[in-house]
Amino acid sequence: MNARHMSDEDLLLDYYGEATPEQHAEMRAHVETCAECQALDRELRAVLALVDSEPVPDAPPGFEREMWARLEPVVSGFSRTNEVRLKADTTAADTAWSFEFPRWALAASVAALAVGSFALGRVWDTPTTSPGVSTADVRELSERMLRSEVEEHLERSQRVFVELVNADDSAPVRLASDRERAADLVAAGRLYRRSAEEMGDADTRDLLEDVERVLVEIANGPEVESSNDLSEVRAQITDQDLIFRLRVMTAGMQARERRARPTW
Amino acid sequence: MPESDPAIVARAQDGDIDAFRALVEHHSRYLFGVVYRLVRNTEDTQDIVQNTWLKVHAQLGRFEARSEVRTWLTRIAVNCAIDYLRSSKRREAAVDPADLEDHATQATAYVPQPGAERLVLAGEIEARVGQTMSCLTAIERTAFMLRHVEGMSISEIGSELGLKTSATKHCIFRAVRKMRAALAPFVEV
Repeated sequence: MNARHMSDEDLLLDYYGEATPEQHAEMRAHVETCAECQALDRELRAVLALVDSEPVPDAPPGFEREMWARLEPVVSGFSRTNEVRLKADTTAADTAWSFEFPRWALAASVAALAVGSFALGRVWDTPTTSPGVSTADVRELSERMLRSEVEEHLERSQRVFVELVNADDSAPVRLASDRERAADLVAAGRLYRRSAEEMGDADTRDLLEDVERVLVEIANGPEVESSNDLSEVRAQITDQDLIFRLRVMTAGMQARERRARPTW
Repeated sequence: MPESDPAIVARAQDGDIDAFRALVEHHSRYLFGVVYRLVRNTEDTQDIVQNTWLKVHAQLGRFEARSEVRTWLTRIAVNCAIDYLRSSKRREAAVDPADLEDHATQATAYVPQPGAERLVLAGEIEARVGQTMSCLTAIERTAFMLRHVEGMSISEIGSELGLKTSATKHCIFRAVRKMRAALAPFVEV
């Protein structure tokens, strides 16, 4: 028999498959020949089996229906306003690119929520007929969803900037994919910027505005540029500390989200 | 033949509200069970499931077709539950918000009661398991349940909880030791 007995920690890790194959083989060989470790192993497994026996309360009857009743005012609100809003937005756009709604919504997923937030903003004072959801709930939910999407938008913008700043100077840079990404981000960013303005969030609005200017440069640039040609765009990114500001803003949003407590 | 989850998600990604509703109706009850095991409170569980769906809706564009829909939903639900536990902890006591260690869902500590002869009914065993689980700290319970019930690896759990692997292991070890102490009267070796 192996002289070293197994600890409960060893046995637990083995039980959960977290031991390496070698450790597993060694432990099983030992347990087979050691009455003390066999007893400990059986006890652990028995305790864990008792845990498995605990019934988890089922959701109340009609839970799914009630859940949808809570969600529907927010989710449907976004969808109902998407088409009209996006149409108006793309018609008024002063840039060369255009977007087809479903593809655009799929790619960015973000603008739909921002647009919905506008719509909700206009009807926040209208009582909802859905059970269990107040207009304040809808407002808070829409704001949280919007923050979440703006955070993702800022992270994507940051990635584009980081890649450009760190691009290899020794070879021409192919910008076709960057242009497409930037164009998507410009369209979504405009909606978010208007949302931030409506919500009185000047810091976010200002950052989105600065980010958008650089993204427009990228989106309108040629498909292939020399590193020298990129220097102006890089200078805009670095001179305005855009990457740092984006990191600070997203870190702040993540911290706020962690602190947020559902109140509905 | 019923439509597959990835197909439903694809439709929801295209803005189909009925598809999103189908997801809510198919998976809400399952998510209730996942979240309840972590927070041990029906009302909070309902709120967290709601929050989960809002996040799911916001993140539909991030779902990758090769992923399992239920795994994706579970991960979002677990994160929502963890966020809730962290904020709940902070509301109840102004201590380091990153540390959930001393949070338990019941104010009074559970004192194991010896005397297996008085506790012979299965219902009492279940009650003891539930009581013991509720008396684990939030981080112990979360780490343990993610490993034991959800089958997540320790490194994955550590990543979700923001803990090092060693700290995650110790959370699970402590949870199991507390359960061994509390459930010893029911275990015949």
